[in-house]
Amino acid sequence: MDYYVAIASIIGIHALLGLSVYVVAISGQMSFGQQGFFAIGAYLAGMSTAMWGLGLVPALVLGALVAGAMGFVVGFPALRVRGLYLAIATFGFGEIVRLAFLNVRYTENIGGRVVGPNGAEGFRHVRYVYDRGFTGLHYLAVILVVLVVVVILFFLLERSKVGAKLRAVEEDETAAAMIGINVTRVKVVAFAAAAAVAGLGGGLFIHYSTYIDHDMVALPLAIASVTYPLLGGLGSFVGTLLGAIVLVGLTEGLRGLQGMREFVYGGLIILMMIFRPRGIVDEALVLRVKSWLSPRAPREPVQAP
Amino acid sequence: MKRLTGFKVIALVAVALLLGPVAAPAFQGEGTLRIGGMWALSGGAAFFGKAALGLATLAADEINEAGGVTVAGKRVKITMHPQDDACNAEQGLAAVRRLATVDKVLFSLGPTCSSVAEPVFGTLQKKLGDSGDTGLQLLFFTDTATKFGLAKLSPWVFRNTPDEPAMYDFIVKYLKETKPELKTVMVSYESDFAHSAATWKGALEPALKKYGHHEIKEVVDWRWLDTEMGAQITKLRRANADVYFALAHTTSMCPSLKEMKSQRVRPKMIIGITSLAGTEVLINCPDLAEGVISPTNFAPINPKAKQIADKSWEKYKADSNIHSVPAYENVHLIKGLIEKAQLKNTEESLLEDRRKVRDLLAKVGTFQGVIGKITLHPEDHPVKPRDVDKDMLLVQVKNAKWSVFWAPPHLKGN
Repeated sequence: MDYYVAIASIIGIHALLGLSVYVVAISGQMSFGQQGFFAIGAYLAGMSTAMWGLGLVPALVLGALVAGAMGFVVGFPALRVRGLYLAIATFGFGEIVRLAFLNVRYTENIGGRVVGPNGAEGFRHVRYVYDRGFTGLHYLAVILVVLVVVVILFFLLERSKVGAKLRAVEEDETAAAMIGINVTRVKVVAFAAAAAVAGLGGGLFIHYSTYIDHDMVALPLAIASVTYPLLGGLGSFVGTLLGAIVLVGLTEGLRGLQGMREFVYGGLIILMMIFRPRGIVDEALVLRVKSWLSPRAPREPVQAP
Repeated sequence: MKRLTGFKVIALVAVALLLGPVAAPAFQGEGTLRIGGMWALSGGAAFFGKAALGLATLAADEINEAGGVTVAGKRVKITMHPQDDACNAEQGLAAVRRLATVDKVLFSLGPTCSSVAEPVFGTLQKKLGDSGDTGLQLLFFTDTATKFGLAKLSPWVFRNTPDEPAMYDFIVKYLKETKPELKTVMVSYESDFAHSAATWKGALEPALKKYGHHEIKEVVDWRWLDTEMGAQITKLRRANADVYFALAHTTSMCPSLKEMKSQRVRPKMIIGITSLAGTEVLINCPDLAEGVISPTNFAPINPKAKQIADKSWEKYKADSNIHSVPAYENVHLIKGLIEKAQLKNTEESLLEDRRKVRDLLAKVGTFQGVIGKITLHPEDHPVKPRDVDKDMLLVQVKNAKWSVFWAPPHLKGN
């Protein structure tokens, strides 16, 4: 049971990271730097509980807020560029954050233990969850509550005016601007919200793992974060959740194959992209599900005049 | 509906894979006792993980061939339950829970990478026997993860790993006393590999400062899977120091040595990281590594060590080296403790059994390793509780083989 709880916890945390990419993606951008916000949220939330004596909730909120604020600041210059250029710019930001944490040393001796970001040594002893008697199931509940809150916000967003603006910007920036949408504001707000969600994921991660170092927020995490929404499909946020479930599930499910695992993992992803080139939950599937859920009333035959 | 076929296939595959791992019945009733191991069995560090798995399996096979282990008056066979963490922290966090709650192992060996050991050991119980501490209660007797201080993370962690601060302290002192003319040093390390970075910051740099004999001319770093390090080697060429400490694993060591050859960087002595002393470097770049010296705790210097090295290679294609041989030693040591611990070896008694073995391991003191005596420090040791002290040797690549460069006098006669 504990094993499945652990997998579900990892899926929940990665889903948040994937959702942060999804928000940026539905505004027509692609970010390879969400792992940087994830790291900011993780380090800050970790410092909050392990060094400053804050509770878990304020720590998570602080991590998310600072990551979101950072997203807002980074968003303005970064979103001046588009497409591949933006991908490179955001990845550059992620690397700056990673290298910053490689060099930051801010530690305290607490109970004979060196606690805090310690450069290449990493940040140890973030044991708030385990020291306070949280079981794996308890912490999974915390992760799921956070995920559900974020998902509800996404659900509302997709049906709101802001969501429509995001989709409009994704479809055609010029046309969106011509109908009076402030494209820059929409993109920056989306970027900041995405950064906050990634920060939240980071905060949850460090309290789950008790440890983080610069190498855990490097390129592989960036690739994973982008893969979830792309493999899951951009038709709905549900795709990102499915993407995280499938990819983390594959990683764990193929464990028995040992050395062959990477080949089979890669092969299955290729097969998935062949079967579902626009992701598991693509726009066509979303429309189909919508038509199932709200079938149209049969039309009255039109009478000839 | 036809377009949904792919979706259904994906959903079925995902569900099947997630529900795949189920616990098989075992324990005393079936005449088995489960031991686990989590290593990097795939990815860049798989060479070490597979070697440790091979040596652990060799030990388990030897025990089983001799009749097994006696538990509650009955001879039971050891079964190995290895898990692959791919040297990835998150996979390690899942693997440790699988070992503890699905495989239900008595204890685990591994992990391979210190970067995996950090979070895995961090999630183990910190306050022994305190029900308020919900950390995992799984005994680890680590063979490979070498970063200094990892055993302090939890009382459930014991290690039979190299003491690198002591090793590099010895090397610097040895150089000062026997080669006083070598006065300048240059260093390279892998900034993204916890073990390599910690060897520089926590072992070599303090030793160089302590003895004050050597001038550090240059320190460069690269990533452990890098293959291009022209700029760094140019810096080393300019430094032109007498001794080059290459704290790099084989993956980056071989390309860096190639670059050194092309840039004609020729230090008088090259000293590598502990993990270098295995077959991997001899397979990948034997010519380039000629003359490189490495500290180690294992070399086939006695008949027993030679026999193990030959057997593990012949049966499992597993390299006997500084990290894998401890897996062999650990399994044999724990076998003896299991027989003393009066285990019940049932699913219900698993936590109690783990605790009994843990408590006995904490009191082991000195035990016989493959090449010499090993001292496992008690829990109240001020510097390295639950870590070992053991003999070290210096080995050197000569004619594409490791040969002993220096060994303590009491081992030379073996």
